[in-house]
Amino acid sequence: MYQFFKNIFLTKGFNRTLVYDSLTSKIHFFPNDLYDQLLLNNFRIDKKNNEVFEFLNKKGLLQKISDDLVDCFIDLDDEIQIPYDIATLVFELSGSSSKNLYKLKNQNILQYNFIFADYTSLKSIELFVDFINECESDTIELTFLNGFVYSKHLFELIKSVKKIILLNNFAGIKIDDPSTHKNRYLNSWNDIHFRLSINFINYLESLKHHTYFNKKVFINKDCEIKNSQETKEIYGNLNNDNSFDIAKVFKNPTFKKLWSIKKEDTLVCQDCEFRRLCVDNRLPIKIKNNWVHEEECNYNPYISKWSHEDGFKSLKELDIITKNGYLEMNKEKLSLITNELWEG
Amino acid sequence: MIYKIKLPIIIKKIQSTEIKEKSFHEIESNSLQTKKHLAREIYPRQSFFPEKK
Repeated sequence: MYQFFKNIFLTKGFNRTLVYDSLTSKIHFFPNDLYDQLLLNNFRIDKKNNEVFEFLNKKGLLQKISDDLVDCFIDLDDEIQIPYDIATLVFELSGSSSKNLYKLKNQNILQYNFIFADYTSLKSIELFVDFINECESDTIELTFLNGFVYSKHLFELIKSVKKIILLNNFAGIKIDDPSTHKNRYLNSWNDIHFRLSINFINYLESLKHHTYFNKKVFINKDCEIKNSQETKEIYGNLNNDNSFDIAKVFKNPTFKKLWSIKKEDTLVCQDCEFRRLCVDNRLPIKIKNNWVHEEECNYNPYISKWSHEDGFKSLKELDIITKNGYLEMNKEKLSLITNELWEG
Repeated sequence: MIYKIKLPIIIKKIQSTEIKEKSFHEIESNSLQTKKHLAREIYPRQSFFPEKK
C-alpha cells in the first residue's frame, strides 16, 4: 500500500487540485476527479492501480507503507503561531519618519520592509543605517520606488551590514553595491511572483489568517500608523508620543479586522487552487455573509489561466458576477469555454 | 479498494503546468552578491505592493 508523504498537502480548486510539496517547495496539479477518488479511499493507493500510482509516484509524492504501520504517520498540525507582535513592519523612510525610528527599538517585530522613494533624504538614510545596526531583526527588506536618488550613498553605508538584505527594485534604478558579503538578495518580481508565495509558513498561516494583512503594521512618510498601505484608517502617529507601544494600537478593536479573513471565506478565492499559497493586497469587502473583492485577481480559477497567458478571460468577460454576496455563473457555458481553451 | 480512473485529456493539459519556487526567485546578477532563490527565508512573502498609477 502507498500513501502520500505527510509533507504533501492538497487544495481542491474549481478545475483542478493543487498538490503542495512543502519539503521541495514544488507544486503539482491533478484532476478533481482523482481527488474525489482518493478521498473515498482515505488517500491510500493500491499499487495495482497502475495509472494513478505511476502518475503520483513519478512526482515523488508517495511512500510505501505496510498495513501495520499505516496509522503510525499522523497528519501534521497545519496551524502556526508567529511569536511576534508584528511579523512585518513596512516603513516609508522620510526625513520625518526616520527621526522616530528609535521608538521601534524595543518592539517585538520579526522583520522590516523599508520603502525608499522621493521623500527619502540623505539624513534619513543615515538614521536608518544606525537603526538596522542596532535592531534585533536578522532580515531587512529594502524597497526602491521611483524618485529615490541616493542608492549609491545607501549601499556605501550598508556595505558592512551582515544582516540578510532583501531588495525590491521597483524603480529600476542601477544598483552599485560595493559589499563583498553574500547576504544580498534581489527579489525578481512578476505577476505570478507577486500573488504567490510557495512556502510552508505561508501555507500554514493561510489556514486561519489573511496572509497579507495579518500581523502587519504600516508607517507612512508622515508617521501615520496603519495596518497596511491599502487600508484607510489611521491609528496614531509616531510623532505624537515619546514612545511607541504597539499594544496601544492593537487595543483599537478595528485594527485587526482584516487579519482573520481567510481565502476560504472569500468569493472566487474559495474556488481557487492557489488559495493557501496566495498573498493578496486587495481589500476584502463584506457583503452579507461573504467577503468579495472589487478588483479582479490576475488569475482566473474558473478557466485556470493567468492574465498574461493566451486565452485568458476575466470574470466579467465570462459573466461571473458577485451579486448580494453570492456568486453567479453559467457552469455549462463555462465548461464549454474551458474545454475550448484547453483542448487540442 | 481497486479503482480505475480515466484522466480526461483536457484535465491532463490543465494539470501539466508545473511551477517551481526557483522560477519565482531567479536572481539577476549584476554587481549584487547573489545566490539563487532562498532570500525570504524568515517570513517569506511579498509585504508591499507599489501603488498602481
